[in-house]
Amino acid sequence: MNPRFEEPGAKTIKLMQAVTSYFEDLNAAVGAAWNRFWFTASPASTLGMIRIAAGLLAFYAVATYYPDLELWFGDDGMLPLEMVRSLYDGQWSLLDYVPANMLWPAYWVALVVIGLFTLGVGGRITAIAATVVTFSFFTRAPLVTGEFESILSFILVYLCIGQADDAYSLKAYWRRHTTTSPLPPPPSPFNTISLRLIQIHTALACLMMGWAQLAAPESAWWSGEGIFLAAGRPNMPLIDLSGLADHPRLTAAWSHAITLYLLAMPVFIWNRWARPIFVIAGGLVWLSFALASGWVPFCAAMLTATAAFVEPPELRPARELATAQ
Amino acid sequence: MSSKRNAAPVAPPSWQSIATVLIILHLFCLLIGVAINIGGGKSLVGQSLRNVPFARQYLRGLMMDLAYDFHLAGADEDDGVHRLELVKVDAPPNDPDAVLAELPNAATQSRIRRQRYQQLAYHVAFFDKLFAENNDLRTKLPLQVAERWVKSQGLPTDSYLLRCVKVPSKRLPRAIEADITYAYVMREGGLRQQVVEKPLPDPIKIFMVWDPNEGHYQGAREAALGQRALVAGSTAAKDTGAGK
Repeated sequence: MNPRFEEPGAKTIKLMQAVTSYFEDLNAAVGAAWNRFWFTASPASTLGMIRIAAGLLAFYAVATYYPDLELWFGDDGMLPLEMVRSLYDGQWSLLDYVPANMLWPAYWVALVVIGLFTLGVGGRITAIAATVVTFSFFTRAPLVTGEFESILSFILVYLCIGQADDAYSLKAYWRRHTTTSPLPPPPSPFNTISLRLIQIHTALACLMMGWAQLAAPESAWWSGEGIFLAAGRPNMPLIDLSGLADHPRLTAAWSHAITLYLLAMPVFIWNRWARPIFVIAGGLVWLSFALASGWVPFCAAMLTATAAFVEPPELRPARELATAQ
Repeated sequence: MSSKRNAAPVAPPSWQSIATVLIILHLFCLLIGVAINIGGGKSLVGQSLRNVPFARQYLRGLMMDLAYDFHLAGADEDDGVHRLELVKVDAPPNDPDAVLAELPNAATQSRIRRQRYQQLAYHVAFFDKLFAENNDLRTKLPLQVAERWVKSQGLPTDSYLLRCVKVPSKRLPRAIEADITYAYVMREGGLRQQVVEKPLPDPIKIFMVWDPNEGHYQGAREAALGQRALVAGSTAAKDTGAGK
C-alpha cells in the first residue's frame, strides 16, 4: 500500500505498537538484569569469610562487656531498664527479660552462640540466634554503642539470609571428611541476595559518611584537618601521629583521600574494572584510619563489609554474560 | 528482534517475585531511615516520613534506624572527647585531689571500653542539651550514673559534684591560625588589634546530695545566670517513691 494513502489511524497504531514494544523490551531487560543481579546462584565462599570476620567482631563486642557487665546491664547498674526504655522507646532486647541472677549465665550462653556461629555450626538458626543475642546487648545499653555496632549490625542481619556456613566452617569440614559426598554444596541464590544487600548497605554507609564529612560544621574535612583530629583523641591512636602537625600538606592529602574514597566508592565500585582498585583502596583507607584513630573494631567492621565486593567467580560480570547467553 | 520476543522466556520461580517485593520494601525502608535521621533528623521530608507505618519499627528491630552520617572526626564542640568526673563538692578551685574518679580514666586498658565510657559521657551532654527545658529528664541519666559510680568506687554517701567535661578536638596549628579572629580594642595610642580567644565549652555540673529518707541522691544542675536550678531525684529514687 502506498504510504501516502495510509489511513490516519494506522500511524497512531504503529506508534502505539512501537511504544508498547519499547516498554516490553525495557521491562524484559530490566527484569533480566534485576534477576541476574539478585538471584544468580553463587557459592558461599565470600559469605563464609564474612561470617568468620563478623562472628569474631560480635564475639569481641560481647566479650569486652565482661568487666562492666553488671555496670551496663545489671538492675542496679548505671543504665537501669526503665530509664533506657524511656529514652529509647521501640527497642527490644532479650536481656529485658533476664532476671538479675541469670545475667552471667545469659552472657556465657550468648558467647557460646556467637562462637558456634563463627565456627559455622547450626546454619541459619545459629546465625539468627547469634544476631539476636548480639543485638540484645546493643539495644539494652544503646547509650554506650557507637559507629562500630551500627556497621556490625547490618552485616549480621544479612548473614542470616544466605547459607554462610557452607564455606570455611566446621560443617564444611565435617562434610568433606566424614561423608561419602565430598563435593561442595550447590550454589544458592540466597547467598547472592545476602552478598548484594551487604554491598548496597556498605555503599550507602560510605556515601553517607562522605556526605557527613563535607556537611560537618567547622569544615574540618574540607580544610584537610580531619585525620589530625581523629589522631588527636587522647589515649586512642595506635601510633603517635602528633608529628603530622608539622606536615599540614601530608595531613590534608590523607584526609582528602579518605573523603574522596567515601564519595567515589559508592559510584565506581559497581564498575568491574574499578572494583579491584576500590577494594584495595578501601583496605588502605580503613587500615590507615584504624592506625590514626584507634577505632579498630569500627575499621575492622568496615573492612569486613568491604570484603563483600570480593565476589565469587559466578557473580563476576564476564561470567554473568556468558551464563546469560 | 521479533524472533527474540517470540521465544518464550523462562519464567522465574515464584519465590523470586516475593523476594523482589521484599527487597524493594527493605531498600525503601532503608532510604526512609536515612531521610529521617540525616543531619540529626532536621529534614522536613524526614519528619513527614516518620509517619510511614511500620517502617521505623522495622528499622529499629534491625538496628538500621540511622543515617550512617558519621563524621569520623570533627572540630565541632560535640566532636571532642567527653569525660565524666566525680569531684569533691567543697574542694578549693585548684585542689589537685579534687577529682575523685574519672570516666574514662587513663588506666582503662581496652580502647573499646574507653569508647563506651566516652559514649556514655557524650550522651550525658547530649540529653542535657536535648532536655534543657525539663530538669527532671535532664538530670535523670547523670544522677543514675553518678549514684552507681559512687557505690562502685566505695565512696561514702556524701555530697559530690558530677562534672561532664567536653575536651575540644586537638587542632592543627595552621587551622588554629586560620580560625583566629581579632577585635579592635582601645589601647594607649589608639585602636589595636587583639586576638579573641574562644572560650572552652562550659562543663555540665550536677550537684548531688544524699537523701537519707529516700536512700538515693537528689541533684541540681548548675544553671546559667538568671535561670533557676531545680532539684531532681535519681530514677531509682522515683521508683521507690512510686512504690510507696
